[in-house]
Amino acid sequence: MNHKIKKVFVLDDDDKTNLVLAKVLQGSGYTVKIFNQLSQIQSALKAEVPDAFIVDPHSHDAGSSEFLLFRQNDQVFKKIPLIGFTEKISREEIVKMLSLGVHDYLIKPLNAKLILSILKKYLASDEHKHYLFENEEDAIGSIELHFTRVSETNIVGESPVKLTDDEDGLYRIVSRELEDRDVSSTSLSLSKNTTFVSQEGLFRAYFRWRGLSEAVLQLIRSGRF
Amino acid sequence: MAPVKKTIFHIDDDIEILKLVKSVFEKRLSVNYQGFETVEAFLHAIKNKQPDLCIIDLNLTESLGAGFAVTKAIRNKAEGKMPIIVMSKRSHAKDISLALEFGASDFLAKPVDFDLLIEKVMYLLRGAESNMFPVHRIKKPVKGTLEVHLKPVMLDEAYLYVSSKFFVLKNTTIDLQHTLLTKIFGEPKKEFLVHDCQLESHEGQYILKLIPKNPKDDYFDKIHRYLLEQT
Repeated sequence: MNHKIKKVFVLDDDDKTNLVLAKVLQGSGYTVKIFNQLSQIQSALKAEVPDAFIVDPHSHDAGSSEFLLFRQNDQVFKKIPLIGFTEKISREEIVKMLSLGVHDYLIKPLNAKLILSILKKYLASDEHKHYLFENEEDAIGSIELHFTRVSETNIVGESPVKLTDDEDGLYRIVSRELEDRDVSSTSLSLSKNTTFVSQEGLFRAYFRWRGLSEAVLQLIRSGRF
Repeated sequence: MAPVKKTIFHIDDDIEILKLVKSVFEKRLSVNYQGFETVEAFLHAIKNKQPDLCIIDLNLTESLGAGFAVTKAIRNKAEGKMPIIVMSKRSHAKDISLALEFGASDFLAKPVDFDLLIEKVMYLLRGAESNMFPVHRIKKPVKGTLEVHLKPVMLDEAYLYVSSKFFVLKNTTIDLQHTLLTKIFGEPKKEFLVHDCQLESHEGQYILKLIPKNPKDDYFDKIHRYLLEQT
């Protein structure tokens, strides 16, 4: 599987707490980056996008208030879950924090189980983020193919694709090496044969020639194609 | 001289199906048909004479899913020359994909649609005899590229989902070209690997789950950023 490791950015000037927090999160498989200053985290955000922020909103030396405003005004970063992690706070401060887009908060000292379960909750919903394509143009996928056998009527191509019929426009074959032998790739059409799995674990497609020069036919007949 | 009749071997644990297929083939096709209820009898017959086409059920007397192994064994023995139709009531996408991976040429779900079965048999038998000229092996295989149209369906943090008219083997490298790649990565092409290929049965299309081949460090960051921008 190719799932990425979740990345958490922490902004706090409390070095002791940061150390423990980093250990707890890393122990649970997260990548953690600690920042003590606003400029540091802003510079890191130019290159990377974390999956969650943990910020102490009371950490004035770290510039956390400015960071909350900065994040709130950024179209991408404001969608990343942010957990406030702070000393005791008043009801008014909680309301203010939530109005600045803080998703949840925790009171220090660190409770490892609690912070991990809160992160898990927000990152689980993050995993379902997806983009659905609507009326987008087709993508073109180029896949390697090798021609391995040849007769006066057909040429056999082996590829990992099971071509099933000759519907126009769904695929095309490009081969400079065929062109070099004076055969146009566009002169091939999938013959009425279906495709079979070869010993190499690939599918064999039988393509019918459409118009070959006498010289190419001679090459084929003599086995020198 | 009358043309030589083609031979069809059929294995199914249900004797009623064998009887039914036999009677339909006798009425509508001019072929030598032989039905077998056990793997042993079927393999014994194949050892003595290679048929022109095989029909294989997946759930057999010996065990459920034994038809997969039979298909694989027959395909290995007959290389790519003999058409195999897998005909089974196991018609989930995974079963069909697996049957194709093991070497089936085609798949037909039970209950049997006899018109369709006859069509498929005639189509495959015609194919087997259409190339009457000597076939030469090309000493140094000629390289080419198959350009396949793929419809983007969905993007999430782990996969890019595209739909395809064609079945594609797992771990195939696909060099993909789409405007979305320019939007996300600033480059129009990127190499992906097929992580999985499943039949979307109601659409008759395959859904390919693609993962990046050799992703750079910032691959997931860019996907993450794009998804955040879109949501």
